Amino acid sequence: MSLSDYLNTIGALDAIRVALWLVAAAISVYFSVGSARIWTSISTGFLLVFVSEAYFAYPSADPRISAIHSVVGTIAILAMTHGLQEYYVFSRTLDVGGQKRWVYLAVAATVLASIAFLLINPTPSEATVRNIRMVENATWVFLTVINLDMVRKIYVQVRDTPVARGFLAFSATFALIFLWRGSALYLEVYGWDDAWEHIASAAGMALDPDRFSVRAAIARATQQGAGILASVAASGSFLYVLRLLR
Amino acid sequence: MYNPGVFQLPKGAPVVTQLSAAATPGPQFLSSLARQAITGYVAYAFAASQAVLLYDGGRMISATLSRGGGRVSGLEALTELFRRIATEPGTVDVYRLTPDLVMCLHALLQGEVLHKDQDMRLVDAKGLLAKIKADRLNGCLRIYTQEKNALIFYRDGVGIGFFHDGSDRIETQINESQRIAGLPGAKLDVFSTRPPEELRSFDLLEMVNVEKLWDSTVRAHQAQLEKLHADAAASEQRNLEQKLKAVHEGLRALAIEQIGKLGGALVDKELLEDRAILLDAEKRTAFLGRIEAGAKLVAGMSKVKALVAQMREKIEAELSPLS
Repeated sequence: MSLSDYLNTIGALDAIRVALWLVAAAISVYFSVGSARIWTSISTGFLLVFVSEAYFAYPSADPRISAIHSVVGTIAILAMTHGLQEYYVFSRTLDVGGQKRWVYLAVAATVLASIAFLLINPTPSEATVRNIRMVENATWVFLTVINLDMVRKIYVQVRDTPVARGFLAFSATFALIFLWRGSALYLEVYGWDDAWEHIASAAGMALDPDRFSVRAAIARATQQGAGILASVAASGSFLYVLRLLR
Repeated sequence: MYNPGVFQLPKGAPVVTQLSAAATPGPQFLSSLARQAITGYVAYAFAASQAVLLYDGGRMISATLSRGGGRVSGLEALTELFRRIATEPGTVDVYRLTPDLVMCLHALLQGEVLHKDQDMRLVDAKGLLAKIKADRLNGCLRIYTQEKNALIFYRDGVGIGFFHDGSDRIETQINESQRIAGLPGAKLDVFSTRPPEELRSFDLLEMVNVEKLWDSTVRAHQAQLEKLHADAAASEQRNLEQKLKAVHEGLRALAIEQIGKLGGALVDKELLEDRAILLDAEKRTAFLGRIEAGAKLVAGMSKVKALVAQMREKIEAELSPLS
């Protein structure tokens, strides 16, 4: 298959988004290698975002694979949120402790347990996979709002330290993530996503795609654009924090 | 001659000389002399005072202590003597004398002063001697100038001995005493006391519980020493705490300068509970390790390393004189 055929198959924007999340993941992993344990959760979260998005680079016919990627995506935002909460606790209590390997082990165990849960259950239908993705997007939306507040609180605590402006960069990243996942959830909640169109038409349900076509178009554009920009912002944030902590 | 602080005393037959006063606890020593039925005197010499204890047949008939131009006697003298034995270095000498000479010394130290500072040019020497004889004086005459002293001892109005500076024994000739009496500016004191038989009825060792007096003196001295030590230790502790507080504030300032208020909070968290960890090398290293671990989350490695190095230098500079 040629590159153009491949890009036509998976969609150019999806390909760009996945590639950019790969870059963000690589930078976050590089950052976590030399940094303190508290950064490990945040870095691991961004790595899992790439793992989740990588599905779009090689979509599988097996619905369980799609479900697994969505579950991994959910775990990604949970890991990031956990990391930011730990950082906030540090900024208030100044307690630093623990080892990185426990973070890796906990995340790996959660991923494996989730995969095991999917495998022991019946093969998910298209609707089930869509439900799992909706849960993923809903989790992202709400935890991103929490993370934005957490970043704000952290910034207030570390305002005069060298790393403070790094958290401003992360707030921009999470704002873009909110737009990315928020718009995806919006489309899914109102049934304007491709998966619902497919499910509805297979079920013989009548849809009126032109009724709210402008809103749906804006939401899709926001989803695509914010998804790419969020990956760029994530890369940039980690690079910026790396520079601040040099 | 022995100098009791005012004038010198004749040395009799030595029993003990230049013994360390602290080596012989007061009560035991004084009681041993009583058991030996000694007749003579015990002389204690300290840096700024002297004490004389007169014994007659083992009875302590007199205790006097001279200090700072003044003199105390009796219980007060014993109390002061015991205090000095316990607190300062000194020597003790014991000399034997005859009972009559002990009586004369008693007159000199504690007797009634019949005449004082009389100018020899104005004294009717013959008349005085006749009166001494008539009154059967028990005591002594002291004839002295600025440089010289002479003593004439009397028992029942009869001269029993003469003593002067530079002599090492009681003499029977009045020559030197006469010569001193004839010197310009010579003066005369006359002292009187009771006969030895009456003096012997007085025994300070029986009137005063010297054991208790000694114990209370030693305890008081001990308590004073302990208080001094405690005060010194407390003062040293206060100084150390102030020093540690100053170092703490210095470290906090360094941390704030390098990594902001959170750096100061890191230092406070480690040191507010126990600043003494800065004095122990291992704990100090652990403290700097924790500061480094916390600082790495908010600042770059170069700043953190610089901060830790500055802190280490500051601690060593301020606290190494104390270790």
